[in-house]
Amino acid sequence: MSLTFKPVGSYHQDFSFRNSEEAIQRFPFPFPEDQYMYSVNLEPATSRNPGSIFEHCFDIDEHYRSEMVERNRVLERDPRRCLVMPHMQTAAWDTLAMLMEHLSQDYPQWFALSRDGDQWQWQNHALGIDQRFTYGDADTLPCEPLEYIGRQVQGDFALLDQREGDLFMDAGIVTCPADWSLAFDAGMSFKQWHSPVPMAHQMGVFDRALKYLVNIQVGQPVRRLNWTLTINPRLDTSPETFHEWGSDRASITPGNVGSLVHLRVELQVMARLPRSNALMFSIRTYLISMDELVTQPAWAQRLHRVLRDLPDAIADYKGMTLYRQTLVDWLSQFDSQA
Amino acid sequence: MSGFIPVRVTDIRQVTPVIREVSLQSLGTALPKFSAGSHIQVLLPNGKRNAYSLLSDPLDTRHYRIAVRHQENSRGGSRYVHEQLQVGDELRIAPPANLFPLHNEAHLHILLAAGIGITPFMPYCTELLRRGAPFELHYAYRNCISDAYVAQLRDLLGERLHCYDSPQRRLDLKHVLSNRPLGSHVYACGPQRLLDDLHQQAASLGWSDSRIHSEAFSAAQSGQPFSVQLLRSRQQLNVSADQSLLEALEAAGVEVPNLCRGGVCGQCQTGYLQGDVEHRDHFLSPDEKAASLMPCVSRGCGQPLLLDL
Amino acid sequence: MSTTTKQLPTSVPRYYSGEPSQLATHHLMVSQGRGCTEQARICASLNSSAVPMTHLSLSDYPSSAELQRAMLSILREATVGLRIYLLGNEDFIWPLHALARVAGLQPEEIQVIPSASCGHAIYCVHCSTTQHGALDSPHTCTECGVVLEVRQHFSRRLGAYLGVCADARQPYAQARS
Repeated sequence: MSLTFKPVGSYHQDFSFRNSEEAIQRFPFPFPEDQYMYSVNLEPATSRNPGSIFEHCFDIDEHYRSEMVERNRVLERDPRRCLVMPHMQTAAWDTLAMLMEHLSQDYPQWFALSRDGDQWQWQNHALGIDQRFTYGDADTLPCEPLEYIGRQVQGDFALLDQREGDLFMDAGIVTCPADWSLAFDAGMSFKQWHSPVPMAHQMGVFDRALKYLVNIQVGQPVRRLNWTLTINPRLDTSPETFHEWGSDRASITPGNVGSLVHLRVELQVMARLPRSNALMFSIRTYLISMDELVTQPAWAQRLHRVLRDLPDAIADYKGMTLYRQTLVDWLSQFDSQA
Repeated sequence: MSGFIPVRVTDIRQVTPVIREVSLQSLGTALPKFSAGSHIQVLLPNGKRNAYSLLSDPLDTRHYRIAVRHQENSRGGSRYVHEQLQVGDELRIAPPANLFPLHNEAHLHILLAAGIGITPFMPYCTELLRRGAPFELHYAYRNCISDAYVAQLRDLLGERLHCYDSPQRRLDLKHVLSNRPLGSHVYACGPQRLLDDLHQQAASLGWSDSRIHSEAFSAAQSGQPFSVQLLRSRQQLNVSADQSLLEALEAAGVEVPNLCRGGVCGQCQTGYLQGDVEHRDHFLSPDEKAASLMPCVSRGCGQPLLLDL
Repeated sequence: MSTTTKQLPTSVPRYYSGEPSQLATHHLMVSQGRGCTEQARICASLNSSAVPMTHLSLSDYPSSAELQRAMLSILREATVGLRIYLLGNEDFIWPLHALARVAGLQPEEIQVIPSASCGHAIYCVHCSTTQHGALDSPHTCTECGVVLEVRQHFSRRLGAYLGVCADARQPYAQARS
């Protein structure tokens, strides 16, 4: 499938972001059943369904230019969104190499990489970049390697140092988080940064997940989907800016629920970084408005049932308590058995 | 276990009278990159599957190199490598996994190798030199028997290398571990006795466990033949004297996740419902042993085993 | 919002209440210097062991910065085997904890003992400043003015609890209508 980019749409102020027909078709609707509960829903990240978001390890789609504009905007406003602790330098270069290798292989019409020892040349035709640099020498790039490559790939990246049988969030570039702060969570262990998640700790979800993640091998990445709801197509739903967007949740009415409420799905890919033995945790976010979603009747019916029956603790954690009933009532018109 | 990589033996070198180095080249695409301390599993034509540390430069993905010591009580793996393996032979390997990684927060890396335990430290040295990180290597061996790579290391490391040619000069752990700067971490690879001594000596000098990283020589050892029943797949298997239970399961088409094949990583933990087990692993707690076993090293004895597989 | 110890979130620190390490080769105690029973008890048990002990007290230094400099110069010469005991309020102990980690101490080699009932450190996620306050009532950020809800989520690196705008419909204390 040939990849073309839409004109730049915005994820703030006028929120001109929209999905095309094709983008709706390939949206990763995350519910395999009519109800939702936490699980360690990890699967090998093997390529499947050409054209789908599962074809390539790092999915690039029609919103590429818009998202890169948004990333630059957020980083200009708040440089704390990119952080690399000193012992994570090797992992940052590992990340740059992995992303450049995958993008140039998977999207050769847009990205090209040529290497001669540690002398690398990177071309990004989508953004008009042609950069020669020395691998391992940050002075030959316009900025640190993680920030450099992060400004050219959709999605957030957290780099987890693996030591003492645990994972530590010691580096990352995070401009579209679902209500978590890299600046605050940096340095935390796996269970520490998942601390705010309700119920799952007692269920043993994080014990099982950690045991699985520390044993991920080179070349055998795994993935899972996670989801929440967001008002407006706003990518940057960080705690840092909560005082700017949190009140949106109070603005939902039966009249605007279809256009303002968005299902937000994260495709999380966890891959072993080969040189540093760190784990890359990539979080690729997809947004779809309720109006767009209900063009797929099966999705509309299932989402209605999932949200109607969701445990209150999870609904609260996902920030939907204020407008949940309005949304469920609106969705019920698409559920034949409601 | 998926994703085996077909490779060809491109070189075999006798490094010492008991240690052979084998170079492997991919038959397909480039070999995966790896981090210092990684190992691969090698599937030998005789059905044996052992884990060996990678000793080549992690940046070189054209070749992997491993070194194999001839074990007197070999179940057939090391004997095959020493007596039958030829340049040009084709083998399969599992992709690299790392159960013995560098600690990225360490300020000083103190490496302790005994004999063939030198292998994971070869890429450690390459990587630490490349990073410009402070480190030293303490290497105990028997001259002209298990002294692999000593000359090469001397050229590469200069004063960072400390040799202990047994029995003339013994590795004095107390001396190595005393008065070390705060950011020190110690890594050891060698026989279990060395690791036990290290833990004991380090603890008595106030080292906390998280500063101590070790990898034992660990591989399945022969034992008595025994038989097992599989509950879910309703199979009965016979495990021969020089076969591990894991190998017998694999030969019967029952894949169990595994990484180290030496009873330390915990990946192949399997439940059993009946039977007597000779536990040989370093992973399970005494409580866990009542219902679980590690088929990579442990064996049945006495009452026949019924596995939850 | 009451939280029992058993249900304490995983990021919130469990503070030291045990005994000094028997295997240490050297103890370093750094205290804010407000005499309390806890400090006296730990001081006594450290002194009673055969292991040498060094005690730095804020009261002997003109400023926290001077005390930190003194601690760093000890850590530079120190060797593996050292255990550190930090006593004081959260604003005092966690910056020292961060210095000790950078100097090469492992987390389990550092014990933190907060003085009872003297408030907590709160990190305002909006302007990224750390300040002193209470956990159970809204806290108005002294820097940016946002009224913060303090979440039960703690960063050892920043030595503070997470403070996030309590009511996005009215972020600031004074109504601005």
